[in-house]
Amino acid sequence: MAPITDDHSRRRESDLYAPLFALFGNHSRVFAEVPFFGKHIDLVFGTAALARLYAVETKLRDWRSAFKQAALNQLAAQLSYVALPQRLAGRLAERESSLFASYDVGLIAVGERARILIPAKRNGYFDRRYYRDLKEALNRATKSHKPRDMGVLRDALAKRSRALVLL
Amino acid sequence: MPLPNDPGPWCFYRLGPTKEKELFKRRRDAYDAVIVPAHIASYYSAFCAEFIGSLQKPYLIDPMTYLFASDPPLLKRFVKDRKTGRTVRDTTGRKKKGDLKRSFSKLVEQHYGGLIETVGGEDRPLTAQDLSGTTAADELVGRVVEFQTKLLSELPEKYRKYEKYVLKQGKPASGGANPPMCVVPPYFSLNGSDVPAWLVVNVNLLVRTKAKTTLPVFPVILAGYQSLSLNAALFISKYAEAEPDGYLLWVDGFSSDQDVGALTAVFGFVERLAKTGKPVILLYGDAFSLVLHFAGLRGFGCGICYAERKASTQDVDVEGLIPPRYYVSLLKKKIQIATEARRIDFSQYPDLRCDCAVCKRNPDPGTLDDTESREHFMLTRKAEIDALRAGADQAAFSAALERAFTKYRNDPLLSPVQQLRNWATVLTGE
Repeated sequence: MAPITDDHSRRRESDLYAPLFALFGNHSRVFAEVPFFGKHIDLVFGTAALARLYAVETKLRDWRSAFKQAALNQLAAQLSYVALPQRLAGRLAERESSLFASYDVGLIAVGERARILIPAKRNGYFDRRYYRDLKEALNRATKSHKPRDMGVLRDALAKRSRALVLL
Repeated sequence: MPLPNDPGPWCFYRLGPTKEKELFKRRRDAYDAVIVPAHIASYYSAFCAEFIGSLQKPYLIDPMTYLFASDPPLLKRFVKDRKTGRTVRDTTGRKKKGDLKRSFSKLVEQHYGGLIETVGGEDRPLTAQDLSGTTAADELVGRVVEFQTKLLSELPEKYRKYEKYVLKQGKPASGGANPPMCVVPPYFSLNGSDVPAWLVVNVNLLVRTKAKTTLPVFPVILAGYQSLSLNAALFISKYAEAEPDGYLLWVDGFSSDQDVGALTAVFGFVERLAKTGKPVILLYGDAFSLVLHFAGLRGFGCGICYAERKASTQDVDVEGLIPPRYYVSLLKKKIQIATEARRIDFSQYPDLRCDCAVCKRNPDPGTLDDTESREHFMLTRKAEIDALRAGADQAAFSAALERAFTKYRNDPLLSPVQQLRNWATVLTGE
């Protein structure tokens, strides 16, 4: 089977962010580059009181590493997604749907708009202690950080800064 | 203590955090020897003398002299804010460096002194030129050899009473002496443009060290894999001329997940060096050292489940804790316990099940604490070494790596495992 790849029309993962913000538009809290056990969750969307957290891992090509990180994010977020460029996501939805389903990881296709192709599910790996720790970290960030726009985040990512950004 | 008696590969553990003390004692059958870094031996000399004496295992002291020829900031500690305890950063966001790290200042002031102290005072690195004269080289060797042969070599009084049991077994009494298994000459990196000059210095220091001790002398060859590959014949012939009793090899910054070219270069160098007939011990090595056994490697060292690779340019002031990791023997890799091990359902992977005492007691790797995961590492590594000692052959070892790769290459949580195929390729030469 030929490896699943995509066109390279999008150059940076952050190019996927704007359609994702629209998709999760009803969630008032958005965080980028959220530290999580030595790694960073690309995006975390939350309801106002952070009662529910949605983790999103974005990648342009290496979907397997995004999938792995998304599966690990399930420890702290109720729902966890992988967001990929439209064509790649479409092919994965055809060929790897059982993998996504068996791990309860959701799949989002990002083109002009973002669309959920495979819904995420909450599973038994969700751990309240991890969730509580993440929620506390996000609450602290809300108090200590100023909300930034996408331009600031892009600059930070371009400089390889992995500091949490409140959007 | 003399060199280990067991056949290779010998397992060396590097003395690190004090919380490992109990593990070293409880699992003393799981390793062959101990490496004590010079600054630890110097800063905690009373503890180390007592500890090494109590272990009754072969040990060596790594003199760590390469650091004095590195950029001076490498030896300095990070400045901490007294109120917050956080590292202070400069205006560009870089961590601010302060004085010489205390353990190294004690090593310099109380033991190495002389030239090392002089260049430190001038805040510059030692150069090959500094050591080109007979007096400077001789003085440095004298101090480094004395440090290694005296500091930890007195058996603490309370252990001397056990001598009667040694005598009962018909073994020679130590007379209270506990010398290292070998003396390590001062050594410096063989990377960069100054390789010829430093090679001359290193070999000269080796010759002078041999003249100052009756103990076996093992020089450290410190170089990146490219330098080793490029200069293999030169390095091996120059060191061999000085007739050392064995070699400590530090492949600078090398890690076993590098490409086949890098792995093959290291395998080839070890093979050539081992053909001199002297024991070759890797100063820092991970599970790839098991592969290097087939190239003739006699032993390898690391921390207990950490420090299996090291770059000579690494800061000595390491910040942050290493998250507990679980070693998966079949895949020859470690996974983070807090995330990966908790997310992986090990009941779905019967062939990854571990039979060590720790895992029998606690079969879910996701629930192991730091000490348990390190103990598991020691026991698992011992089992791997025992398999080699029992005569596991190269073809079978390579086939096992290939099988594990084929099975787990696409596993979403356990991949990447490309290193397994790369290692198999090195062994089969295909």
